[in-house]
Amino acid sequence: MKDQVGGNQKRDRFQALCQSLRPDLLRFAFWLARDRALAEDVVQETLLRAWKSQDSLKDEAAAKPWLLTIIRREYARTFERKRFVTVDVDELIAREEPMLAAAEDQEIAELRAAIFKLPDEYREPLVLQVLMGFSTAEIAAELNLSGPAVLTRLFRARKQLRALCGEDVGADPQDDDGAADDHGPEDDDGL
Amino acid sequence: MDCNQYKRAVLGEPLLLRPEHETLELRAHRESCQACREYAERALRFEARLQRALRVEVPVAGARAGATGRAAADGASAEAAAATVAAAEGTAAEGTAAEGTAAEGTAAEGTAADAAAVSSARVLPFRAKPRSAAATPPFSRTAWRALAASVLVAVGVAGALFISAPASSLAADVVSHMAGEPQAWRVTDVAVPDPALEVVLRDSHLRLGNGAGMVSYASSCAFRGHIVPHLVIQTAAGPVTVMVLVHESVAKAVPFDEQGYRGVIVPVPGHGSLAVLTRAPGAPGPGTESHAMESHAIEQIAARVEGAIVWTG
Repeated sequence: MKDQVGGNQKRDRFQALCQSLRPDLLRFAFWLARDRALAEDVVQETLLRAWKSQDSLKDEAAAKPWLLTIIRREYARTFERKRFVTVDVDELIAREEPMLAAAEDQEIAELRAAIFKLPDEYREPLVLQVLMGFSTAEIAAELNLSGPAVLTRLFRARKQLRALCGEDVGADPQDDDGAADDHGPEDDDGL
Repeated sequence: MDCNQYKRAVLGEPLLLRPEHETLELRAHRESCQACREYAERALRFEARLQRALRVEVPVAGARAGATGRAAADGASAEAAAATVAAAEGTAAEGTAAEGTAAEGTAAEGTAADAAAVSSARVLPFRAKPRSAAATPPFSRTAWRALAASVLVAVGVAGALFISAPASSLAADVVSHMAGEPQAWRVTDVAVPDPALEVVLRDSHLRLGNGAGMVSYASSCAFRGHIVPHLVIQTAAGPVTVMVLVHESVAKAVPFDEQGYRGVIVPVPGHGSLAVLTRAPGAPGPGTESHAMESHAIEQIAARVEGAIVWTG
């Protein structure tokens, strides 16, 4: 009886935790997949997997990165399960237009379309940093990159975004001026 | 440090523009270089827009059955099917506000299968029964019980919607929104930089005067189809959240106390309403240790914030 009460409490706590994180998980999956339906499926599968292996989560504070790792793996699995046809990014933008549109704000809609156009290797660290609040070290650990490589990708991501949005990029620093190459942690001597 | 190094640093990690993260080196350069100061302000504005852009509106839990519903229907996932049944049973008994929101979709769609799937989409991972339960044939006694429970849920929710005033569902939506941003409740003495705050408030055509208190968090959030300012103000009794709801009107002040949040939605003549809320002590997450704030205290804060707002349009 006591075990059952404890189990219920644990279950409720885990449920509340996942519920509070769900909106950001969905957003992360959406920017990862650039497909709302796929994002919802990935998050659903992620929560199912998380529930099954919740005992491996020792610290609730680590729930977010833990779930994000599962999402990334789950998203990668979708490529194992089915073959995706190549889709033009403009088609993707058109397809997800309702999701990208921002009420009464064309600027934001344009920025979202620009984010869609970023290469995966720039978009993912950017979303992890801005949306999920990850530090450079956390992003590096999640993406198996060196810290300088993460900073380089973030720098390039913002630079490309600003250019795509028609911002004045004349004052931006040059890309080849001391930026670290995208090496893994083993090559972490870029800067 | 030269200008290029400064710009590279802030483009890679704009958090460094915030006073609490700014290094001495960056600060020294910013203070000595007018061009980089302007660059930093532009970068902050861009960052606020980027944050807003990334916070796409996501469907409420249960709005779409998703993989789980399909898995259950296909019999592909035994636990998913079991969870669907368990969810339908559990929902009727518990009937929380959050569940009510999801069940709203259920009632509208009107089929029992959808009802079960929608229920499962919300609680699927948390209601799993032993694997053996999944082997039950589609119209077993358990399935009929699930069906009946779903109908009960739909009827219950319809009744609740009928009884509840629009304002109370507004309060529920405000409370639901809080669950998505627990980090906002941190107790801190670090204020949001003025340019970032300005960007968040600009689209709602307002500025905030000094009387409101120190704003420690500012975000443009999607809420009921609109982007609204979501602020956290630090008070002596702890952090207080304010949402400026220019698109939502209430006839009179609506106090609420639900799911660990206590607050009030006050009308702002000509500018919709203002939701001000605080968290009950003991609620999970940071910032709930010291502020068992009474309703009248929250109303005083609401009046203070309303008084500090300068409408610009």
